[in-house]
Amino acid sequence: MTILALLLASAAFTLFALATQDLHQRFFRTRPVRRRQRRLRLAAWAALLLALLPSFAAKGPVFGPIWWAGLVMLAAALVFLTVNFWPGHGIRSSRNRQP
Amino acid sequence: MNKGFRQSQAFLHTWSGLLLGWVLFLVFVAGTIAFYREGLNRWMRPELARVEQPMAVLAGAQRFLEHKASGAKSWFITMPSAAAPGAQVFWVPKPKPGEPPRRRSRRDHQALIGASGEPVVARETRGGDFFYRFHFDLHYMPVLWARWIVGFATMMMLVAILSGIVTHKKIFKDFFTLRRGKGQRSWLDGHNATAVLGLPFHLMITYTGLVTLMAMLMPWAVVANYADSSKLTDTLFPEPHETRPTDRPAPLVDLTAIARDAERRLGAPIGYIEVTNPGDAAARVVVSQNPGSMLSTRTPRLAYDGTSGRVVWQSPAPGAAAVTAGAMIGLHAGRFADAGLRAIYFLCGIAGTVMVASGLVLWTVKRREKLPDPARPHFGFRLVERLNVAVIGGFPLGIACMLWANRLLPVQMQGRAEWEIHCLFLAWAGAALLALLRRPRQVWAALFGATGALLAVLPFYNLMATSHGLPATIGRDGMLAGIDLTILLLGCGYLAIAVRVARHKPAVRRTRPNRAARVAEAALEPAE
Repeated sequence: MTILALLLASAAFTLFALATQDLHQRFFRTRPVRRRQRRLRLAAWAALLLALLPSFAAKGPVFGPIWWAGLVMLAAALVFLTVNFWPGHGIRSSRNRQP
Repeated sequence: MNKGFRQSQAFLHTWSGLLLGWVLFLVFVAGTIAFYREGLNRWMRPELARVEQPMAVLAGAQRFLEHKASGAKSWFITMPSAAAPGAQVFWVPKPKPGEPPRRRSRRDHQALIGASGEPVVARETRGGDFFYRFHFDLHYMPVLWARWIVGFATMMMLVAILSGIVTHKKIFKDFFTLRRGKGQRSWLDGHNATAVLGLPFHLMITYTGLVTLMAMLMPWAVVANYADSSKLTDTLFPEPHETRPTDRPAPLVDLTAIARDAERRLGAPIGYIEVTNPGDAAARVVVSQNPGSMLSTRTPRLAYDGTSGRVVWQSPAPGAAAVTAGAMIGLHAGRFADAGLRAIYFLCGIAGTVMVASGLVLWTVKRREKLPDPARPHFGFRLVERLNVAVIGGFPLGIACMLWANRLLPVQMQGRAEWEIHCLFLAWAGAALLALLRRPRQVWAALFGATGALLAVLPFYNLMATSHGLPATIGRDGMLAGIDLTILLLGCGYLAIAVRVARHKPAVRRTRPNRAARVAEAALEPAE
């Protein structure tokens, strides 16, 4: 259950990351239109809230939210590190290539 | 948003962060380590075996106390568990009539009952408790001063976090951006990343940290409502009625039976046992629940009659405010956390430490580019730069030296526990001296390198010199193995940073940045 919560939270932050101009460009080779950006963010928020359920189920009403908060931070860190330190990526950022 | 407002917040963020940043760094480092206080208590006494049968140890503690302190006023026993080095016991002797009550050193009246149920002699050390106390009491100074300093620094931390959110409002939008190898920009991105990643933690830990000190920082609510402070204590920490000794001897009931009964009634493991008037007909046993078993630190307690073993009192349910405060303090200390959550707490603590450190360094990075003559910076700049080296580089080196002192100081040494701590501060003082005398870049590399080497070699020393080396603990004793692995990992991390600092070639500085670049920079990053 805890793993499921972590996966959901990681998915949420991956979606948040894809909703940014830079990373959307890097993975889909296009810039996201505003509507797509909004949809990605909405899905991200949904996944983030959905992660609450397995957290509660695994750790109960007192420690569930604490676990959820901890897992959200962990997931954010994982996605952040992956996005920035995966070999071959990271250094290139479309913003820097702009004049 | 109003530009003036954001700029004023930037000013606030810079200076509230800088002035107490060094204290905050110490508090963050010590607090992060203190999440493994119990683990370190065991790690720093490597001669002790792990407690496998807590009840047998408790029975041993009772045997020891009945033999050694039968006529004492009271006994205190921490309930042994696999997480603790054993059962720590101490007793308060009966005051002699006609003799003024003397505060004797607690050291003469304490013992450690090991896994075998017999008192053991371990090396004298403060263990992980040192980091726990240092986190809010600092060292070498009156406790009250230290708490005021730490309390004030915590308030500034809250100011810095809130003003930081306002100042760097783009941190959420640019969250995934890390521009590497770009000088100031990289430092800023790193500072932001560690801040935003751990933001829920940083806010929680700062706010709840203030709650732990609230009665000292803001005593007025208490003063206004309680003329008599003992009444407040009674309200917050209710006690059963005190019994007077009858001077009729009566055997004390078996404490393991009481412990089992209390665990059944409370539905959770127990933490402490206090026995008053042991061996007297009026003996009384108070048992409190283990603080690791619940969120709030206001743990429920039961009192038993010491001769019959009947329950005579149980603590009333605490009020809503007390539970709120207790839950916040519990959230801060994280005693309830199991291995996974504790690791997350620890990682968040590291993120906070890096946030404070990178913020301090950022102050100099930012100003270096604007110095009129970078070869001869003004006094304030040099002071901050060198203090940064002394604190951020020196304190971890001190801790590494303290861990080595724990292993290397002779076991019979007088005042050994204190000398372990002196070693920390001596090494730190040496590092600070070095930071004053030599050029910062060399000292950064030297201090990080030394810290890394000391930490990375320590697990190998454990392997050779103790019976708790990594091959013996991996898979069997997760806590000790985890501490060794963490030390190894941190050591390698420090070495890697040292290598990077040593190889770093500062970019050739443009003596006069052209106006267009400055405007572009300002547009990218309007406030500090």
